[in-house]
Amino acid sequence: MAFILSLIAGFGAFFVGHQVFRRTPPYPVIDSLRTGRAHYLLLGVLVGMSLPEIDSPFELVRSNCIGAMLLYFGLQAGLSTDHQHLRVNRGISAFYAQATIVLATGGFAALAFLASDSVLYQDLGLLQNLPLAIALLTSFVLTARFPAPFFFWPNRPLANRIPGQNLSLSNIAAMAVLCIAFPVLTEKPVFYFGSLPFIGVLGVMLFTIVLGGLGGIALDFSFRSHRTSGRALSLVMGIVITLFGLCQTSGIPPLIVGFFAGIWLIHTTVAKREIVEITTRTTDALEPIFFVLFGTIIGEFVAGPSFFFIPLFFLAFTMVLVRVMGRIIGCAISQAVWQIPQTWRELFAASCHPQGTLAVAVVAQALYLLDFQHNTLVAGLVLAVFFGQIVLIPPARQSHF
Amino acid sequence: MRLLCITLGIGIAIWHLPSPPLMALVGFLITASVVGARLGNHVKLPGVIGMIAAGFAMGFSPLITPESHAGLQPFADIAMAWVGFYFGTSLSRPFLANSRLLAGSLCLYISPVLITVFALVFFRVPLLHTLQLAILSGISAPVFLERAEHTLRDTWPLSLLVATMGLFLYLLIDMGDAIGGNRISLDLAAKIALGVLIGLVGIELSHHWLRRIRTPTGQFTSWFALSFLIALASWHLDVQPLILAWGAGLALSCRTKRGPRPRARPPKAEALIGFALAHYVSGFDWHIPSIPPHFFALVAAVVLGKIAGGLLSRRFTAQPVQAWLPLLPQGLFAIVCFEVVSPATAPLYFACTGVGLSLLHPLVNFVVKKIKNGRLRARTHRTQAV
Repeated sequence: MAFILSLIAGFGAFFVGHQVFRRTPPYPVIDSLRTGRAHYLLLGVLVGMSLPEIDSPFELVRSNCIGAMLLYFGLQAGLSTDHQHLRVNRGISAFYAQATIVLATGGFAALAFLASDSVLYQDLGLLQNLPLAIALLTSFVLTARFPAPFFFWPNRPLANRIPGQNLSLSNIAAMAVLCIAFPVLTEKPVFYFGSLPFIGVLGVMLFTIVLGGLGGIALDFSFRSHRTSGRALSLVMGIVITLFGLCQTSGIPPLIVGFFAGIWLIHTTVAKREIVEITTRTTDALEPIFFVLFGTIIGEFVAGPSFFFIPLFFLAFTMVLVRVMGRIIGCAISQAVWQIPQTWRELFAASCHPQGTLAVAVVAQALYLLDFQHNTLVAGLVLAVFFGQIVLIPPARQSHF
Repeated sequence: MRLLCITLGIGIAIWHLPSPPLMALVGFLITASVVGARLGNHVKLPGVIGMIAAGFAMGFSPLITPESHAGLQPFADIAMAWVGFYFGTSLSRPFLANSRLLAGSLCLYISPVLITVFALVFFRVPLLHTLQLAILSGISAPVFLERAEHTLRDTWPLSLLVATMGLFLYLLIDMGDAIGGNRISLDLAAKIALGVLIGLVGIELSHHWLRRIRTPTGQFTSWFALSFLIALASWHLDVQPLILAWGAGLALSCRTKRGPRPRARPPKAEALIGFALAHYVSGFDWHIPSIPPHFFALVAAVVLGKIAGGLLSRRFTAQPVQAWLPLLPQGLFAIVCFEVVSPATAPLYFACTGVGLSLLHPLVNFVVKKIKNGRLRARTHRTQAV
């Protein structure tokens, strides 16, 4: 009954929101949360809180669906590594500026997390493998919502686009950190694919690249056969799900395999535009499902006895702070070195660039890769993603002179 | 060819694994069914036949064991719910109000039912069983109309109406049997009433929800969420999700005057339909202990009855033979209900009425075309002679 009531509450909230937003456009902060799919996560949390005990079929479907979607989001991140697009459409100085921001943010975040190892173990429920946890957290901090959000503020002119804002370099760097860190820092010595063992850093890396490459080849073939029809999408779904199954059997993170598959696909295909269009449309449909399902995991934790209210919000604020500070340092360095003229408002706007789906995907991946006593860290990180979306810097008021 | 190689490659990779993970099997079933549909289209057969063939092949291969088939059930239930919504929302009030279509579909449905009852009277089959088999014999397969639905205007609504009649009668008989056999207690009746009430509230909420969602993405997500909820409900109520979703879809469609807008309906997600069909077919148990004596009479009655019904319905709909020929095969709705009535012979029944008749359809179509051409030629000769 509680489940049904929560659904009715969700429907009711939707209707009220719909009526309100029809009359007045949402305030940019609310709009930012809406763009970041926070409402779906909230619905998921509500549903998760009201589920008395999770059925085994529901649990099975949920974990597998989230895993397959992780692979898809990895694929989407891989597709954004189109060299030609990066080279032609953006300036080289913007590329270097972004690289500086990424390096500074990553370095600052890694140092901050390295210094807080006891907090991770004692308060946030981490049980083992601190180095991998730090790598995952660094990767989380590096991610950014892509493409860049563009909000309209009442009585303010449209904000100027900051150079390099639309580069997906942050997400590529986040995935690169994950791809390099996982084979090096994993505690599992051997990965098996059937009876075939993959030992050591090079073995694991080779296996991941081969699996991703094979996935990319299969996807490329399916797009060569059907470019625009729904059948192409069906085939892509089939291949992505199979690939996730193969990742599952060997214990390789699907986010990384999807990333490699995406890199292969975008650099070998002859139908780049069609692929990007189809995958973007599909991502729009998959994101809400992912957020609702992931929300149910957090909802279960929130309703459970081990819910720590104060560390959760403290953690979220700290994460936002670390990320913003790291990006400010990076922006300041890039401004000084590459002589990019920026006002303080633009500097802050670039530093507070919100995180998106990939950040939540990295958190979901952490849930599968690390062992936790309780989900405080996971819930706090997701909360940090949505706190980060609230921190929006409005553009300057229009001058009357 | 490339796609076939990919599918075979995936199959070999999964076969290589000692215990293949569920998601790999889900993905393989989707890929195999889509490739099967494409191969089917190459040989001028409905894509659904290719999907079924892929399911048959998977069922006979060592990849799908009874345990893995049961493990895939929750995913297949969601896909089944989607299929149910797709067909449930396809039938709208204007179809039901069209007396020409209604009379035509009534003829199409009643003829096989009567002929089956007549045929089964000669075998000592219990009355309830006879009635159930007869009711199911009239159902057609809307999902098999992939190629025909665009060329023939009336075939699609006729098949939907025929399937609806069959399912309604089947549910009525089932309910009557439960009440007559005193299988419904007061407690169970209260639970059913509560379930119906929750269902009605849910349908009303979903109707308002879907009316406000304008974007294709939002609509797809909403339909997926509804399918998920139906699957969730079916696990608790122990009801086939296909039937539950079909009923909910029909109620949602009839809630509006003209049915949901074409864009507001669930899209024909080939991956989900293919997965649902292939999974269902791959689970068939082909070890049939003994074929009952009335089985072949039943199949013959289905074929004869549908042909008679088609000829009769021509009187009302004035449609060519090609309009009702695609309605000969039976599909998912019929077999799902038939498996409840007679589980042992369900695979054979599906092979005869689902696959056999579909394979026969292009041949019959060819013969009909030849006869028509012959008649035209004869008429031309006659005119020239005159």
